[in-house]
Amino acid sequence: MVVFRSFQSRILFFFLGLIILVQAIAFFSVNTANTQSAILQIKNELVVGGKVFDNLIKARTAHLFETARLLSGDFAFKAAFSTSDKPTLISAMDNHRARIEADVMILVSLEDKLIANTLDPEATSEQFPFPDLIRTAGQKGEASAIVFMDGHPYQMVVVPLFAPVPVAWICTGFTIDDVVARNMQTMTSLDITFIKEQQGQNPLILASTLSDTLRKALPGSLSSTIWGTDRIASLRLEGGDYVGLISYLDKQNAASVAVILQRSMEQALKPFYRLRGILIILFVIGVSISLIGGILIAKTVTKPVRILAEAAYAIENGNYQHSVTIGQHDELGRLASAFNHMMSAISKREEQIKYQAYHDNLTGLPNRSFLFNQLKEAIATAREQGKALALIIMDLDRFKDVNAVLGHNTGDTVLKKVGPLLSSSVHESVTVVRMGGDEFALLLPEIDGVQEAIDVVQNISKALEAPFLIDKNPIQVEASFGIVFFPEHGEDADTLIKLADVALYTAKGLTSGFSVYSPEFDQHSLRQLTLLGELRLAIENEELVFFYQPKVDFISGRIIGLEALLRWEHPQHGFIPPDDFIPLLEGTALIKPLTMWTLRAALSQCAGLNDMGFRLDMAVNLSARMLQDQQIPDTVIMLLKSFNLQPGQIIIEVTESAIMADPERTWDTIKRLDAIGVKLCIDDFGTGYSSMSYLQKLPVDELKIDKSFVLNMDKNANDAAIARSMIDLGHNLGLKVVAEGVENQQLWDILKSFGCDVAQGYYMSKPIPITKLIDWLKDSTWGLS
Amino acid sequence: MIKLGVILYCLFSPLNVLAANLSSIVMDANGKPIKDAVVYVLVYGDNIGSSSQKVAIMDQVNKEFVPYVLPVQVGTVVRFPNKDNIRHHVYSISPAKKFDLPLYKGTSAAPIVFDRLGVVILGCNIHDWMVSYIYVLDTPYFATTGQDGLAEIRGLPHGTYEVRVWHPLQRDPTESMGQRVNLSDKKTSVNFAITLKPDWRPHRMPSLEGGHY
Repeated sequence: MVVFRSFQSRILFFFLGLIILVQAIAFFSVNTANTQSAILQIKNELVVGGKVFDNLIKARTAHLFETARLLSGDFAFKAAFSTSDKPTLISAMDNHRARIEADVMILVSLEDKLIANTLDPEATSEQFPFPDLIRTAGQKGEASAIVFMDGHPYQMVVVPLFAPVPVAWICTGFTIDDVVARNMQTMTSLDITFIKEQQGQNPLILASTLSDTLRKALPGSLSSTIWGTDRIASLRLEGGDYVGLISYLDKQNAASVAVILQRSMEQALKPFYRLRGILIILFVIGVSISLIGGILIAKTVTKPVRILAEAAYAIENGNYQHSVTIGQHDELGRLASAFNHMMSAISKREEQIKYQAYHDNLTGLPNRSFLFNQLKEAIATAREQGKALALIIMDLDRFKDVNAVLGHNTGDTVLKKVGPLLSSSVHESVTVVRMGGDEFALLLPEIDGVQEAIDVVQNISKALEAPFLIDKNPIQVEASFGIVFFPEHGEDADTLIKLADVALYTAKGLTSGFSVYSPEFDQHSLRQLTLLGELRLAIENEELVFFYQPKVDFISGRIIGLEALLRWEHPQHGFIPPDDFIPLLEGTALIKPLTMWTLRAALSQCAGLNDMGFRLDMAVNLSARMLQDQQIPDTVIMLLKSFNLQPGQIIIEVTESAIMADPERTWDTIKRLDAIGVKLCIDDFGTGYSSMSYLQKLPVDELKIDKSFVLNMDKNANDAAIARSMIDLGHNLGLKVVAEGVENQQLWDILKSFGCDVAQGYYMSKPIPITKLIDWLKDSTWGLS
Repeated sequence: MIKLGVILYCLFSPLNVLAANLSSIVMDANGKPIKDAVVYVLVYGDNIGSSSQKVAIMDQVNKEFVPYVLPVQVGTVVRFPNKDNIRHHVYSISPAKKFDLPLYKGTSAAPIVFDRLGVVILGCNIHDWMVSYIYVLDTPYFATTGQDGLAEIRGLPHGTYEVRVWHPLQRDPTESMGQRVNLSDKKTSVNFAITLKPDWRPHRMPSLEGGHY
């Protein structure tokens, strides 16, 4: 089975094959019909020719008869006959013979005796060679027959010579020779051959229109010819095919002359062959036209199909501009049109998807993915041109509050307004995107200096000063910004984005509201990320330990308590302070178990120290998150119980910012802890946003001044003033004030002079492990209470 | 006609010798009477009378010869009056008398002497069917049979004679048909049975088809 690669050749093959088949069938049918018709025609021609021939012979005979009869009525001839003068008679006979165009005239007496013969005037014999003929004439009144004289055949008629009664027989006739045959041929259009059948031999040819070669070949052929009932048979002479008809001239006389009428098959079939040639030409033309037509038609199908296939490939490769043009107005044309529509629809959809992929639904600004791509391109361009670019990531401060207090709809509206504000605050070359949530990013593809980026930030901040009017409510929004530069800070998009985030994070606490990235941050954050993973292990591997820092009473000078500080002895990084890793845990599920563990460890230690005879307060730090956890108070109760501790011995230290981060939630926990009897201390006081009224209400016991105010107190008058105010404030609120960061005698003295209650710092001791602590407690010059 | 000849003979016969009468009936092999047969008596010696009839008539009436058979004694003159209003061309190629009377009307044709014995077959060149026979005899004693096949010859002298019969279509030669008879006062009858050949006379116009009968 032949396999066709192309549709075109398949169409063509099928089409052509069909045409050829149909044409071949037609051709052969017509050919066969024609052949049969031709043969039938030839036979009919033969038969007709035979009939014509018969009629010709009859006519000739009739003519002979008539003319002979006329002769017998001719008086002059009778007179000539009466003279008995043979020469006269012969000349009269010859004359008359010539008149009637006969070849011979013989007079025979009533006694069957030859009187005169024009062919043999001198004949002396009185024997008439054809007595049978005369006998028949005697019986029938006249006779005709084919007779042979000197080997030549003659068509003879015998009529009586009336004078007025029959006085003699007139025999006259014509030879049967080639001339006669040719005359017959003219009438019948057939080849005429007169033959004499001979017993045991080939027939003898008497006269014929055939050529010499055929004449020689015919008798042999005839001997073996079998004539059908229609007296027709095929003859083969000298390599040619003939059809012949046999006819007997004198039907009564068996030994008489027969006539073969024949026709060359080739001759007869000539017009048929011509027709067949025409048919073949038509066949070839038909096939050629079909072939061409087939190719053209196949093309009109395959060409558009090919075009469509190419267009499909183009679409596959993302090229939607390759519209298909097919000039036809048929199904394929419609297909092409539909294809084009499809292509533009796909293109549109792809655009849509791309847009959606790269744009933020809410604000209409591009999204994070878009920024990423833009950044990559901008980096490449900047690298090429040796220029610098800046990436600014910003987020809205305390946006969660907006959502929580005013609802997410309002929050969304705010975001929607921020977008256009940002866009209009920056140069059009700047790409503004919404990163997600309340985070936006700006890409400055080309900057000349740091200040340019800072200017942008300040413009935006300025623009944000005007509150948004939402449902007639003015809503003030502030933002923090993290700025990074290429190539200064990073050379790829991922890095820049990450670093910008880091910078943003650091900006959160700054009044300026923005922060330009510094490599220091990086280490911090990088370490932070890894630390988280390691922290888990750390807990298991007991890398987390508690250090303790003593607190000393200013007035008594005695050690009154300890602060338990979590330390991480990292194998690589060494000692890591809790500030570096606790915040990492804030969002994780680890914070709770860690807190529990911390509480337990601290309380356990406290109990242990109690048992050793050191009765000291134990201060434990709680993170903001933990402060919101409702279970903390219960845990504390449980631990107190299990370690058999008095609640008053325990101080929970919470930073000011932690409390203020979510005053409402923390309130409950604090209240409960207070109810238990545990003491509460506000740590890092002065660094958060306390509200005085809230502070007043809080059931806290202590206030711890942040070390930042203490450390430079001796050199910085402002710090001293602040510290002093804080001490006063604390006292006014009825709180005990602890100062952190007391590193030297001077500070001790100043604080003491300000009336501070408790001191904590390197002056007394840095935080040390329990074993060392015990030793220090034993050996310390500071006394124990 | 025959009777007339007989009467004429009886009236004009110079020899009023005792005359005998001969009657003859001619028939064919089946006994059918034959018409137009000439019965004649061959007379020996010098005593051959001559027929009183010196002139005979072969008439043409209605495009036919009348009579069909005319026996005459040799030397008789035959006249050929043409009673038709058209011309005839009478001829004969018989050796006994070859003559030719080209187209004539009425009695304008010259009479012809038949001076040889034998059969003279007459034809008309214009009308192929016209045939008659003049039988030239050597005796005055002859008669032609009529429809009844009867011929009567009167005034024959007594004696023994040979009686013969002749018919145009007779197969056997007349010589062989002779019968000896002794004529006396009594009426003698001699009968003949002859065989005839087929008659080949062309049909009368318009259908001229030779050979058919």
